[in-house]
Amino acid sequence: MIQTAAPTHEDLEPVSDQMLVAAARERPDDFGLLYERYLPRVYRYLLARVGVREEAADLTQLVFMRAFDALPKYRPGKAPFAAWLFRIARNAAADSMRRHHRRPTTSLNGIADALTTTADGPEAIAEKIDRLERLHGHVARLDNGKRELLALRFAAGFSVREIAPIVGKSESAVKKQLTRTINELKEHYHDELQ
Amino acid sequence: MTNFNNDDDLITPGDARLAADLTELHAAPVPDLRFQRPALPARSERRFGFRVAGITTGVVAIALAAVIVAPGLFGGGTQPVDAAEVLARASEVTQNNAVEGDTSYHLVATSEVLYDGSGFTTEVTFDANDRYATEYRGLDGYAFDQVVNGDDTWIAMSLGGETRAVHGPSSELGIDLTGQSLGGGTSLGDVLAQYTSWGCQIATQQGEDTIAGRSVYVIVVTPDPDNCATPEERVKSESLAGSALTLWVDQETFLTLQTEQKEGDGTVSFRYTVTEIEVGVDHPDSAFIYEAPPGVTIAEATDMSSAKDALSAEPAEPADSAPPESDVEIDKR
Repeated sequence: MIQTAAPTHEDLEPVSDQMLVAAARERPDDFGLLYERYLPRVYRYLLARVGVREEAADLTQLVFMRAFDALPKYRPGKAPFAAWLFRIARNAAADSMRRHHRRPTTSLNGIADALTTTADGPEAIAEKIDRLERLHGHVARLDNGKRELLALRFAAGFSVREIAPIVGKSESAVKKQLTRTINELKEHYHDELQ
Repeated sequence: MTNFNNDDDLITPGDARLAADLTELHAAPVPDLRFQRPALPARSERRFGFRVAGITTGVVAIALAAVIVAPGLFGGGTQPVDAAEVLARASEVTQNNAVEGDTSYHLVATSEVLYDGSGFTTEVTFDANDRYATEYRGLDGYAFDQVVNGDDTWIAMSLGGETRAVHGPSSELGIDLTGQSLGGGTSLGDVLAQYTSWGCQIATQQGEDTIAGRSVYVIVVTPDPDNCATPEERVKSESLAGSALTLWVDQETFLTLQTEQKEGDGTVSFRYTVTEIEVGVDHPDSAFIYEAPPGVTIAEATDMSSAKDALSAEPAEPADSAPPESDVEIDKR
């Protein structure tokens, strides 16, 4: 069965990020634990931003290398580790998009392949792919800021409260914009949902 | 596992299908990526990767205090000065210039920062630990002067045609070299020991040479991760693999007459070379009194803080830019 959502903090936190950061500072090899914890979320977020699997993979490595280099400078009191890491990811994605003059986009990369491995019948799969493609089209037409919030919410699995420090806005501003975005999508997506 | 309704009621139950599809849309399979630890630190961190033999003299302290205020001093549209870069240069220059004992000398040196094409020259007139003058001239127009003469210290910085200078007591400005260990020591063993003392690097003599007509020992410092005290230092040292700092150390004075930093990829990133040197010379007293350029006022400082204030203060209004006299007559009675 495929994983249908990015994991949340709660799902993955038998040991707190703070403890892992402290360990990684003492034993750099322990940075691997933070890497394993955040790899899916960072990769999916970057894929949602740049839309190309290979590039998302390269950027993922870059983000973790930058985080590894900068870890001694990270101040836990200023921001949660996840927010700090995703600010690095956000900058890396923005740099990449600027470099390639590319409009950021959500990607269907690999999703169709993954769906074919589900237990659903071929007809249901085809219908779902079709529906997701339409949704993908609607998302692609949103402005950059809205797509960014969707990526942080649905690809990286952050709550509104967690997104706020990443994008440098208040919780209420993030919630307002996400709600508006979802309503906008709902309007266009209405037919597909029938 | 879904996460779209975790804490903020963003998605109403009626939107569950949309939320599920959005989640699925973003749930691409994750490739089997392995974390590769960076082979080299960022370039900026590699510039002065080796720890230079340990002196933390007042000379360094005041030089650094002075260059730190440079950006504030010359802010507002003039050419920016990278304080950290200048700090590193000043530190290196000062450390290279200190000597043990009563050896007087005069030297001129060039430094090339090869990765960005910048550079600077230094001229040092050294009479004793409490009597010396250093002139630093950057290719970018930045200039820094420091003159120490007993308990008198002058510091001046120039950029974009503007010079600021301050004078104060050496003892209050951190310029007191009494009892400080200076330079590389009094023997080759001292030099090697000082470069090895950190533990994460090892210094070995690799021959002899001649620089500016002086006989020198050639010393190569390389990373030695196995002897680091902490894992962090080990990681740092490992990241410097392949790099080396080569020093050409005067056999008589133990002054460093040349340094060359090679990066892990084999490129030379920094080179400092003494081009002229005279040892055991008598210097005139005037060499240790700072003379400000015409029009520059030397501010008086009583301590480090007031020296910084004086150097970073807003420039005084030139006399000819004073506002015109008011047409309104003021009753001064």
